[in-house]
Amino acid sequence: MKRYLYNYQTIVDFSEAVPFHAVMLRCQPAGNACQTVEQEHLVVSPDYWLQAGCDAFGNRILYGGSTEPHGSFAYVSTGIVTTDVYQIKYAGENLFMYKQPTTLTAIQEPLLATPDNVLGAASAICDWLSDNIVYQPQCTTVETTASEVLERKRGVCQDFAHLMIALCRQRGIPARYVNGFIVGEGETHAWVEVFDGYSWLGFDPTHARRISDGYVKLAHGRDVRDCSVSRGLYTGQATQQTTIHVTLQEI
Amino acid sequence: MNIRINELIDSRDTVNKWMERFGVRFGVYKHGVFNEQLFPFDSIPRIISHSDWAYLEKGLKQRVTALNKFLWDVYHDKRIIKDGIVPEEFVYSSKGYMPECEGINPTGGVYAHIAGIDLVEGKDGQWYVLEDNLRIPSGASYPMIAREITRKVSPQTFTQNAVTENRNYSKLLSTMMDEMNDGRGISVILTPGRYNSAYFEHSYFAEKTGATLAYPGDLFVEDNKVYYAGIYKEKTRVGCIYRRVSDEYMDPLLFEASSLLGIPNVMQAYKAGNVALINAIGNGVADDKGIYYFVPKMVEYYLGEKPILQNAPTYLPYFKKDYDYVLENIQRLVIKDVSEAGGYGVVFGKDLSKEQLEELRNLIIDQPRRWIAQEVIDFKDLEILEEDKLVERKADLRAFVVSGKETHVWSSGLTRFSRNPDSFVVNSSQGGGFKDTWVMEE
Repeated sequence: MKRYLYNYQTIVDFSEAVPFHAVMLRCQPAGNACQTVEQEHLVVSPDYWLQAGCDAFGNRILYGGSTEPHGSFAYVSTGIVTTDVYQIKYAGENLFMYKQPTTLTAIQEPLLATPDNVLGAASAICDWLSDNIVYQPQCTTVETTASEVLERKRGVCQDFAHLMIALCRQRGIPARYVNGFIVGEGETHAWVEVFDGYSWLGFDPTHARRISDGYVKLAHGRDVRDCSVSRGLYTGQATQQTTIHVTLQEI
Repeated sequence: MNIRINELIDSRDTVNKWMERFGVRFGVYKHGVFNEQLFPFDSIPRIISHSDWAYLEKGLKQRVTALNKFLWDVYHDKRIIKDGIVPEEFVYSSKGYMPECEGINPTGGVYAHIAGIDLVEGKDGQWYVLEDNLRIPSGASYPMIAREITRKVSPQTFTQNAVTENRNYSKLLSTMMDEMNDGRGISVILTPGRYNSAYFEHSYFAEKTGATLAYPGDLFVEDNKVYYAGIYKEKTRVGCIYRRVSDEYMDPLLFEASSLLGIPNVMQAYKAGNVALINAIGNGVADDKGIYYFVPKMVEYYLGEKPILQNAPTYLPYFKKDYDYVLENIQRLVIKDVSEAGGYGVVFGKDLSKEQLEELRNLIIDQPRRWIAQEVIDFKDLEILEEDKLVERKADLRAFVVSGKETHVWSSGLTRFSRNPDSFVVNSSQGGGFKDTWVMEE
């Protein structure tokens, strides 16, 4: 068992006051069989109405907004999480939707031969990705599809995850996209969970490894669209600038 | 029946002129350009006998009741899937299936508050259901206003013929909206705005039902409740939204992020039971062209009754037996692309060249789940006026079924016909006109 202190902070600066801003956040760690939230705190400024809820994929959400004119929105989600071996027992989810390609996770070619067992196939896919795709920040957008990544042979963690998901689903392996934190400092990270018939196992295609510890999960979905850490919408002419800072530290 | 055709024929141009003045229009996007067209009215009504209507009414109630039960089941217990009546891939790979609706309990358990069921009458007098429209079926306003105007232009028509009253549609709508609203606030009709193809209808319904016509940006969510902030600056609580905006544009924080038509967080308010959405979100899973095949089975499964209305004979290449039949007989069948709407994805085998047939055959072999095939039904043609001559054209009937606490069938409907004598496609986005539909008292 490992204990971690996490701190996730976002500041949204508007170029001028906005009269309306609505948000949907998935910034609090998930609770599951191998991850327990020991303590958590949330700081929000200015005062938004916020409600806690659950989305279609079983993720925790916070949603709300403000109708008072304001020039920025800042929040901090912090706390302590303990984790066990990354192996999440099946809880009756609809596997069908994690087997179907989505717009972001559809590719034509099978690309490589893989072993028949899930673990072997997922590891082979991870290795193939690290041999063939270059990690390069800022070369793709949130809308980049797996087949575009394949064409350009470069991407960031989101792209590695989408391509791995596409390759798994092609082989009939249920696979889902995960958002969360990894040990260290920086931004949020994305990885993949594959279903081996009993449990969801974690793979990090960006680092070409199966996950044991050092990862704190926020949310999962069919692809990034289902589980963005933060989604917002405001009215008016303002432009926004978002600064995100994440730390995860073993304690 | 003593119908004075001549009087009606004489009234045609006058009624059309009045409709033009009232702005009864239908918007069409072609090559990215928005054009508003008049929806040409043909003054000779379709006449449905009392006994035919009694049969249709019973069948429509039964069908819509089963469809509502199916929608509840899909988003809750999934009994029909577990019992092997509907294969799971037809449900979960349907574009209309919304995982976000799992477990949501719409007010009163109603999903399809307004259903538009498209029917055709065969030459043998047998009615067939061609399509169920459970998302945003449009078109009721056209026969409503046509009847209203004809009544003014030719009042004696309705004193001489025992036509069933159809002015109750707005009452059916407003009663249903009140029931779903349950006193939570005002009811609104949410329109995407004047560039929507059915904008005339949105504003007409608002006027007729007394609901407020709301535009994008007029509605917002606060503390999990929906408010209207249109022309008044103060907040007014909204209890029921008859939305004419598609599912995927309704909540930009959950669905299409670029949507400017939706209401951020409305799905959360809906999930919390603080607002009724008419129709419910996620209904597309039940009016999917692939699911259509299973509707008669739903009637038997949920109601334990024999289906009163028939589907057009339909084949699913997904099933081996149908697959073989379809590939064998493709040249005389209608092939429909399950993933498309609006009548554009419908192909008649008889119209295709050898190469095109081969191409289609390969598409079916490649993705059997994507297609359905139907026998071509020999429709009964209806007389229409072409200039001043009576000619026969293909026509269908969209019947409107309104479900609140109870289910009612509107004793009227939209009869659409194709202008082109060789075309079977009567979809209004492809030209064509409409008629009033008379349900007779005797």
